[in-house]
Amino acid sequence: MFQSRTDKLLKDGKVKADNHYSCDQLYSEFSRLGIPVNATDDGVKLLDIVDPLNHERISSTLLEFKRQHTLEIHQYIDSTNEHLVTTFNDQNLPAICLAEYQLKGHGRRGTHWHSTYGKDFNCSIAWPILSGQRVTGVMSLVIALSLVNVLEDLGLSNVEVKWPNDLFVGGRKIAGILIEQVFNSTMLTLIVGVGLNLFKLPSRDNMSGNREFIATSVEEELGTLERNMIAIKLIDAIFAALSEIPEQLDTPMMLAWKRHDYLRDKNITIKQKNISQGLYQGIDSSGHLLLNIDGKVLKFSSGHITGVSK
Amino acid sequence: MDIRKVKKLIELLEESGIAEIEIHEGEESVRISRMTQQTQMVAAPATAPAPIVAAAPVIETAVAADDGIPTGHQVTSPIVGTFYGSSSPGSKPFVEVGQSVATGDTLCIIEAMKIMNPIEADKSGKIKAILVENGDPIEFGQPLFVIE
Repeated sequence: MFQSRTDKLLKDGKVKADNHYSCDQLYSEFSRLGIPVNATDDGVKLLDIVDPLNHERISSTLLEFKRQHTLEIHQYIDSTNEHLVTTFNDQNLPAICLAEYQLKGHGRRGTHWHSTYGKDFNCSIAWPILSGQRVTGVMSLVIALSLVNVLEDLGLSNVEVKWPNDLFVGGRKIAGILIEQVFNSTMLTLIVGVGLNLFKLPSRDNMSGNREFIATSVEEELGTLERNMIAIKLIDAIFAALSEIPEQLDTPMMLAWKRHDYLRDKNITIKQKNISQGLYQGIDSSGHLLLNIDGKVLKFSSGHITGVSK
Repeated sequence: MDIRKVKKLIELLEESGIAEIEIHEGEESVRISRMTQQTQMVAAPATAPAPIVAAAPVIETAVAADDGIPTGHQVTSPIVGTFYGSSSPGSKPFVEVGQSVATGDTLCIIEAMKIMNPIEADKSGKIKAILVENGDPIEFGQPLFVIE
């Protein structure tokens, strides 16, 4: 199986060619998996990461911002969300897990989230929910809007959110968010996962995990970027968003949504159990999607948007 | 108990054919019954406010079923969303009919706006019925499981 070669490459930094895989085959297979390698005489070698995530820099800056936390940075991991779901404890919250590569990154309902070694921002945050606080779907939209702010601060324009929380720039997907909740007998913990494309990759266009959309990246939009600085800004923004857990969107948030609404004035197809088509009419303050079907407005709290047209 | 929740319960009761509903949450409870045209709310004896883990409290209903739902303890949805019986497509369902469950076991996930809300058993027993199907849209307060 190729998995053992992937493990060896990420662990040892190199893999030798053998009877099953030539140098060329190793090179193309690892490239397909999003792991940049160089061919050597007898196999392939893992490329060094440019501007690797730096624990000291990220952690100390967050503390300067008064963001108490615990931070783990992994070279590779199955999934940052899953790791936190299984390892967080009451004592280490809020906990941040970053990884240069996710072997089994996933989105909603197990859809694959393509990751590229050292080229993305893969981050999950475990956040304690206070007794009496209630987490509703609104948090999906709130976190998406907070990421929009960060991307705009970085200088990106035309940042939009596709309900409920996928981020697009100029019609191309740049980031996805996955929020999970973990209950135990005494407390509720929110696990917020963010995947952001940082660098341009030819492979990304057909491997974004969502074939309907072509992906973009911060590098393509801005030209240059500084990974650690972006990591700090994103984590800080997510912490700020989580420090209040609203159940309703307030007026500034509703206005922000309108400004960045990817689906505005579009005809959409939304698939829940059944497929519904109609004219998108924005959201209500609970974050529900409003769809006008033959003059009747229906509310959706979940569903997968499979088609968008003017 | 959150007054908004009580308000939602009253609305739910008004929309349904149910005459009376009693909710327990920790040490608090509230019974709402419909008498003639009026909605009467009877608060439970005052107790010290109990800390409520309020993220997705499972609402316990004890109503005589005349709507085809088997008798027993109903687990209802605390939110509006989509029902998923397993953690991901193709994986084993959390529970099946006939299976024994303990309080706190995850029975299903209700997804709303891509937030996954695990719904836990608030009573131990045997799953007598699963009232909804994978991918079904779920309303607030809709019965999902019957435990006996």
